[in-house]
Formats: sequence, structure tokens, C-alpha cells
Amino acid sequence: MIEFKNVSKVYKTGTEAVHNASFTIEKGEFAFLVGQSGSGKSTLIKLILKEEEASSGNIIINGKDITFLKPKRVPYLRRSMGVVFQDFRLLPDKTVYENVAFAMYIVKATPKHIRRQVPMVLALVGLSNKAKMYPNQLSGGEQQRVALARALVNNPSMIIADEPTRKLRSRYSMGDYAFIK
Amino acid sequence: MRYNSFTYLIVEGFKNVMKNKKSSMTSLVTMICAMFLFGAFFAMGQNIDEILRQVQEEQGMQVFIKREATDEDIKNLKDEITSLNGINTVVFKSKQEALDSMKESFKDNPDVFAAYEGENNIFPDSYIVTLTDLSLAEDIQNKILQFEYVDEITSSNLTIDTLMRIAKGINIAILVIFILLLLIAVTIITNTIKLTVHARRKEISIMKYVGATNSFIRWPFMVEGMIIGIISASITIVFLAGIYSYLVSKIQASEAFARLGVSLLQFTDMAQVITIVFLILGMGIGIVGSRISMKKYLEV
Repeated sequence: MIEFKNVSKVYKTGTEAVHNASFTIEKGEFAFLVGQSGSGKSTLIKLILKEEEASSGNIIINGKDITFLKPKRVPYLRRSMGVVFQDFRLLPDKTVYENVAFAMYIVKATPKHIRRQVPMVLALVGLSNKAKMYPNQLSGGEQQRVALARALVNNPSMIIADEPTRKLRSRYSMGDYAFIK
Repeated sequence: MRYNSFTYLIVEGFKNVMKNKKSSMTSLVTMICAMFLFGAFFAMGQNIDEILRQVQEEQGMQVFIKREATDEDIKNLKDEITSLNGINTVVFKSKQEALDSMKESFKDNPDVFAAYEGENNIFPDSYIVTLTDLSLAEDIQNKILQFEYVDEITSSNLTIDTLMRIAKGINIAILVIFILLLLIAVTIITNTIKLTVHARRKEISIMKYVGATNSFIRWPFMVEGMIIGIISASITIVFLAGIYSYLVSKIQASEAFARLGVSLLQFTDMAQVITIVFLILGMGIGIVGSRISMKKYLEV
């Protein structure tokens, strides 16, 4: 599913964020990447999302080498994965419902499909009663669940989360992700 | 593109316009000013073209007919001239009419021409020929000279040349002004949309991360630019129509203008062209402006 072959990333500033990383994550696997801050965890995710280009090595996602993926194809790569960012990245002027529906608009889902799918996902993360609220009216934990709902709504083949629990108290951190399995 | 995402993009475009009232207003006012100036010059150019056309039609040449020509020959000559390209009117002026007009010019001294009445009339018959296109004057003149029974031709080539040169100069000036205004409008629209885009850069980057294509992100901004373009085009047309009609009625009422013997175009004569040009221009500037201003923010 995700395979790194001798991937290195050196930023223009000369900082080497990833050094010769090789690993494989199979379908259905739950992988955790642990490390100190500044150890390159976020860079690794940026490489998967093709937000950054690898300096050397190959990254294979769903059997395709994305190293030479054309910029035009990048949006389609990103659609195959649901991403939860450490700062959640919700649209502040859109409601919870719209934030989730937005991800479906982008993949050109039918209105009927959107109307059915969004409430279902919101129920899954326990936010059915907050659908009409705006992100700034929610707690950190709730915002995170909105981000999670958005990542899940298009049934991606993989979920990638960049320190999704950093802003939360540790008591919540695992429980929220338990249902992903 | 399926119906729903299309509506989504259009609705988003409208929302953008409403949400960014200040920058929308700035763009609107700028575009109205630029388009108004362009419209004013365009109307001026159209009128000058129209006046030139009217003057051209009156500009003509006098074709003098040889004395030995019979009535039949004279009639045939008219048919020959009429069959040429670029002829507007061919009017016969008999020797008697020529004499009468001479007497009219010398009416304080009517005796001068007394000796030329009837058989003694020294004036030849002639045709007054007017043209539809002055640039053909020389060519036509040469052709007429080759016809039988044509004695000589008098025309005012100098006036013709001057008129043609003026018309050409004005058209070039209008084109230059048009290009300048277009550049100004695009630059200003680009900058105003850049402000909107900058304010929403976070949203744009989020869209990119969720997998939106560039065109999906660009569309609402292009729609925004298009809406501003269409609204400013409409407002400009209303303004232009009002001011133009007022000015034309004032000018045509003036005595000095009446003496010139030409008439100006009504706004309705130009309305169709102006509307089409403005709408295309408005939308075009909006689209080009938003495309340029978004470039930087789409590279995530």
C-alpha cells in the first residue's frame, strides 16, 4: 500500500529531514511513527502527500511510483487518502456539515450521495448534533473529529494522521481512533 | 462536470463577491472607469467614421462630357459610370443648369452671362459622381477617363487624402488607447483579486490537501471575476447611454454643428456592438485577472 525505498529528503536549507528511509505498510495495517519533534515525521507525511519532493529514493503508493507523478495527477493521489493534520485545517467560514461535504464536492459526488454520506460520517464521529456549528464554536477534540470525518467521508483506502492528538489531552487520544478499525 | 459541482462553483463565486464587498467594489469602480473611457473613445471613433462616411458620400467628382455627344451617348455614359465599383450617385447636370448656377453665383452682375444664353452656352453637360469609398477615387477617375465622350474630370483629391489620413490616425489612436486601458484594467483587477486570494490562501491550501484540482479551486474566483465584469459592463453601458445621448442632443441642437450638414450616431446604433464588446471584455478581464492572481497560490 505505502512503500518507501531508500527515501531521503534534504531541504534547500541543507537540513536532512529524512535519511534513507525504507519501509512498507500493508493494507489493513495500523502503523505508528514515533519520534522526537524535528525528527522528520511531518516531512514523511508531506512526502506521501507529494507536498514535498523526495531528494532521492522511490515512494510507491497503491502500487504506483509517485516519484515522477505529474503535478496534474497529484489531486487524484490525495483523494485516495484521508488526511488529518495536526492543526486540523478546517475552513473557518463553513459549518461542520459543509466542511465535511466540501471534500465530497471536490470529488464531484452527487447531491444525493452527499446528503446521505455526510450525516452518516458525522454520526460515526459523534457530531450529529453539531452539524450546523462553525469550527471556532467547537472544542479542540470536536474539531479533530470534524477533520477525521472529512478524512473518512470519501471512503479512502488509507487514513494518514499527522500528530492528530497533539492538541488534545492524552485521555482522548486513543479512544477517538478506536472506531477506525 | 456534473450539475451539482457546477452549481457549487457558481454559488461560491457569488458568495465571494458578496463576502469581499470592499475589494469587489474597488474592482467594480476601476472596471467601470476603464470601460467608460474605452466606451467614450469608441463612440467618438464611431462618430468620426460616420461623419467621414457622410462627407465621403458628398465628396465627388465632376465628369465633363464632350460637346459632340448625343443624348443617347450621354445616357450610355451614365450606365457605364454606374456599373463601376464604389459609385454612390451619378447625377446629370445639363449645360443650362451649369449656366444657371453660374448666374446664381454672380447674381449681383447678371449681365455677365447674358451673351451665353441658349445656343451660345459655352458650359458643357456633366455628371456629378459621388463615391461610397474615397480610397477608390483615383482608380475610378482613371476608369471614367477611358470612357467615350468624357472630356475631363475635376475632383478635390487633396480633401480626399486629408480625410483618409485623419480617419486612419484616429483609428490607430483608438486602438492604442484600447490596449492601454485593457492593460490597466487587467493589472488592477489582478491586484484586487490577489487580495481576495491572499485572504483565502489558507482555504486554498486546504482545498489542495483534500485533493481539489487547480481548476476546481480557480473556478469560483473566475466566476467572481466574471460577475464583477458583467456587472461593471452593465453599469457602464447605462452610464454611457445616458451621457452619450445627452451630449449628442446638445451638440446636434447647436447652430455651429447644423451648419456642417452632418449627423451623429444615436446610441442605439452602437448599442449592440458596445454591449457585446463590453460583456466579452468584462468577463475576459475578470477571468484573465483571476488566473494571473491565483498562480502563486496554487503551487502546493
